[in-house]
Amino acid sequence: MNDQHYIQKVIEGDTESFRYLVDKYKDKAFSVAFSVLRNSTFTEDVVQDSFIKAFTKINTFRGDAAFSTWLMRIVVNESIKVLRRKKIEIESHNELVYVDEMNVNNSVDLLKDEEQRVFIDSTLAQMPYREALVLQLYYLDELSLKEMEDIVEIKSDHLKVILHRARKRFYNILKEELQHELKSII
Amino acid sequence: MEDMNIENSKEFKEILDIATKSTPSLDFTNIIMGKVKLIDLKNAIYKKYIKRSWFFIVVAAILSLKVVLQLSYVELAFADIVNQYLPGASQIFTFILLSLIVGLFLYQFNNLVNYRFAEKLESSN
Repeated sequence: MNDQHYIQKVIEGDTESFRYLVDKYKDKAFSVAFSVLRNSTFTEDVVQDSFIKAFTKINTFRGDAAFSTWLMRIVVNESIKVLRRKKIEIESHNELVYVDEMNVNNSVDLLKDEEQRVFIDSTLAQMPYREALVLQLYYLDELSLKEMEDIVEIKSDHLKVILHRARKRFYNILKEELQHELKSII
Repeated sequence: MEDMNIENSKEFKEILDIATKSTPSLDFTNIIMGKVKLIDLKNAIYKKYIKRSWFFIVVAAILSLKVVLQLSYVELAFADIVNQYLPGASQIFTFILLSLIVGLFLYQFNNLVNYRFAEKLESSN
């Protein structure tokens, strides 16, 4: 049975059918919200609010896009709302320079697992939320540009630019982080 | 991945994948379902109250017809009963009765607006 079957049941008043949708999409919703917020507490709250919103608005879901796309759009909007309210947005204004990605990847490989995680987390935390979000959606959730267009409401041409910039920024920040580490060791 | 020519995507994905993942708590689904059921219950209660308010508004409106359509036999019957116990007091009692009808109408109309507002607020949150 597909999502539409359960959505229809929820609209008809069978609240319990919503459990299926929560179980199916909670992990994805968490990773998307976390990529924007980088904070577990806020993430849990935002995902809860998003599911509640999806439940109360489910009769407005027209089925033009997949339910997951519709839900993720709610998650992204709620995350951005919280981000703005808490003023935890981090904008990086550093100029982006060319970085040899292979060199950085090799440096990361030399680190222990836990150290790698600390560096990658710190790098993502310093990125603008929109760039971190598109990296999550494109590389980790493996969404198409069309699906991303529906979720973040940005045209695919612009998305490509953001993706390119995001990847460049990621390596710029990561390289800087690794250099700091190397200096502190020396 | 469609029409994007980004080299080493796999390697980049692996690097990103190292980052900490936020996972839902074990009872996450139950927490959501608890809230969902509460919303459902509230909506059912609002619907019931709205229905009740409409009923009283209709009753008040029917009673008001007494004034609008000048159903004098109702007034006469009422005056007869009142005058039996308190001679001459029927006009005052008619006024009190009409005030009660208008009061009931306004009170139920206020309830209706409140429940509708609460219902809307609930669904917009």
